[in-house]
Amino acid sequence: MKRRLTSFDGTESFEAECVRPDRYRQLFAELSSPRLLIPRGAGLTYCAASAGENVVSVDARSFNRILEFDPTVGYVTVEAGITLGDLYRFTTPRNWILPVMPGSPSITVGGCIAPNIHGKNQFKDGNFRAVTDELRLFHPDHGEIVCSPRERPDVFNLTVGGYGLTGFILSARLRLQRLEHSAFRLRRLKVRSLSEAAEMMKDLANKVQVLYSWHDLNGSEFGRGFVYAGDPIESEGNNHELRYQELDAETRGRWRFPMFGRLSTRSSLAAYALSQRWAGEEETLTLAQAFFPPVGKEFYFKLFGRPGLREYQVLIPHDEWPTAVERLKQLIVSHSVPITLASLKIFRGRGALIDFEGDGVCLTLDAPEGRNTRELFADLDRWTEHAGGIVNISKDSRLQGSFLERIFPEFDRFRQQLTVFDPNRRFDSALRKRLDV
Amino acid sequence: MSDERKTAVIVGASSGVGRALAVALAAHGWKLILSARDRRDLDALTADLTLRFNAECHPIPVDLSNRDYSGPAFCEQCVSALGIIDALFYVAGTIDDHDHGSTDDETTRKLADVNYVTAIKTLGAFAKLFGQRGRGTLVGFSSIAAAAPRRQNVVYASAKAGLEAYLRGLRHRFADTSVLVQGYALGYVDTAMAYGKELLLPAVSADAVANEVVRNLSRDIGIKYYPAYWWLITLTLRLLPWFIYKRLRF
Repeated sequence: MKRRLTSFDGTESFEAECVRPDRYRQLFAELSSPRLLIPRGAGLTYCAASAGENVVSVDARSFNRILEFDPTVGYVTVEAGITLGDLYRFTTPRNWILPVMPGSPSITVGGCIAPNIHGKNQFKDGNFRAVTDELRLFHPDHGEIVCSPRERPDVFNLTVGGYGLTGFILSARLRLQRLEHSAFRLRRLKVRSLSEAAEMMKDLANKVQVLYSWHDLNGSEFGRGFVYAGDPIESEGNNHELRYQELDAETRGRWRFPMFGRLSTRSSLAAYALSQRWAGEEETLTLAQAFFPPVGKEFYFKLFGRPGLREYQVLIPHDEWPTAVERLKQLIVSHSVPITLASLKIFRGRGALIDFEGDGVCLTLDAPEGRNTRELFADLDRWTEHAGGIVNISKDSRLQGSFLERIFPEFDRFRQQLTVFDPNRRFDSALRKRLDV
Repeated sequence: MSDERKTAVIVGASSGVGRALAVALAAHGWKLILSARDRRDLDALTADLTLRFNAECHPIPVDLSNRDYSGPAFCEQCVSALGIIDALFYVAGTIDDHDHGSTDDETTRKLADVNYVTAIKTLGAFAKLFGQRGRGTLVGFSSIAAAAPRRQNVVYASAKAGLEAYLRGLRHRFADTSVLVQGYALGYVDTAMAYGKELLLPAVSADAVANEVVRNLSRDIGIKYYPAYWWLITLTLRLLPWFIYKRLRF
């Protein structure tokens, strides 16, 4: 069927052919067709990674079953269409948890593997690759492939963070972490600037399990905000319960007009800052609140209305951060773009190919879609390149291959490996075309 | 009917309403025989229900379009696996995009077999079993197409109409016993059958259908339209004069 598919940020939209197989026979028939294909999960990637013109989007969400669970060592094998919310509901009562999860419980496991996502504990538990033990992949030219860090590591590394371009993930074996606590104590630490926040977070990274910050970049006190540091604690009662509202690109963009302007952004962020000050320095969060912080705040995305939002997520090396922050301030002030969200995380590790992974400070910025925002983000691209940073490809619908070639040392290697693995280009998407890989 | 460790056979368990029903019954603690064509789908569902609900599931692959399919043989296989069986759900169904009433023999046979012939072979075999035991529940799934046939589903609609008539007859036969015969005339359901089709009204989820079926298990409901408003719609369609009905494109 033809369906209009929109990227989650609302800035890319296609009249795409969609299929939703619900049996393996039907799935393999679809995947063996001569048409260009791309797997699709919940469609929550900010850019059009699972859709494109003249590309058939293969909805994976009917393949959402749990196939194996080993409670002795903590492994679970699932079909890739299962959501993190469903997986959470299965593992937590059994005292296990998937340690790497992005904020949305609606995202599918396949949707975590494709962009090699990270959570609010990247500094401690790494990206999704770190919890992915083995994949069963189907590609019409190769058949079924089992790959892992031990078996066909080339295919494994290309698939995790490969944006669905290596085939349809039939199942994934995931490494769980034993759940030894039932709640989190969240400390709320006031900071005056992004520099102060980054310093504080670097120190805290060895001591806490969850770490992120929130900042207001719009007023005269640029960068004031809070660092949130979460430690596991024991708590009475059932803390496993997870209730959430399904959010997709269509419901996100249902409101016709955006609510975020310069004035409304400044006042709403001031109100948020006030609410955080009133909330005190500490609070107890349930597991669900700690792992899925955006739950209950879905309206934030709706406030961008049909025109949508732009997100810029960048990883800047620690050494470059103090200088980079000064330049960032100049850019944001000069462009007068309302920044609706600014947040930091600490990253550790070493990424490969086009992974958003490495050592440094991760900055996330949200702004309403518009010419000023695009101009600011174009300047931020130059800022990133100058600071030796990398950007998160899954978050930004503007990024071009020519820019990514300059900032990702292994970008060309990704392109070559993908061409070798899929010379007939059976899997395609708007993202692939834009990146020119 | 108490749900405690009851046993059921679901024919057509691998997708749509059948799969949703398997999940709903497993969540209520039922022991299940899951039947569909492909082993791989059944194995995945069995693993899932066993892990999530600690359910006891037995996958039995069966090709309902096979001419040699035998209702009594299938029933016997189920009894061997589960012992006592409390309920049969025949959910399997098939449609064809070229079901204009004059398609090739093979397509016509398949539509008639899966939607009607195999259904009544299976329901008949279990009716005999339940009749001998004096209790049991037989559930068949029809469609609003049975009451309002269209040019796009001629054989399908006639097969479902036949199935409805069969269920009514069977219900009459067991009227004075503890054997319940239920039928559901389903409206638009968000399954592979409806996916991509332009629908006049919103499709309900397969989970909603399954929950409705589980809720009604102990009730003598006869043939029930679900969602209920389809009863009124199909009644209106049946009462429409032909010169209007023939102009409808739905």
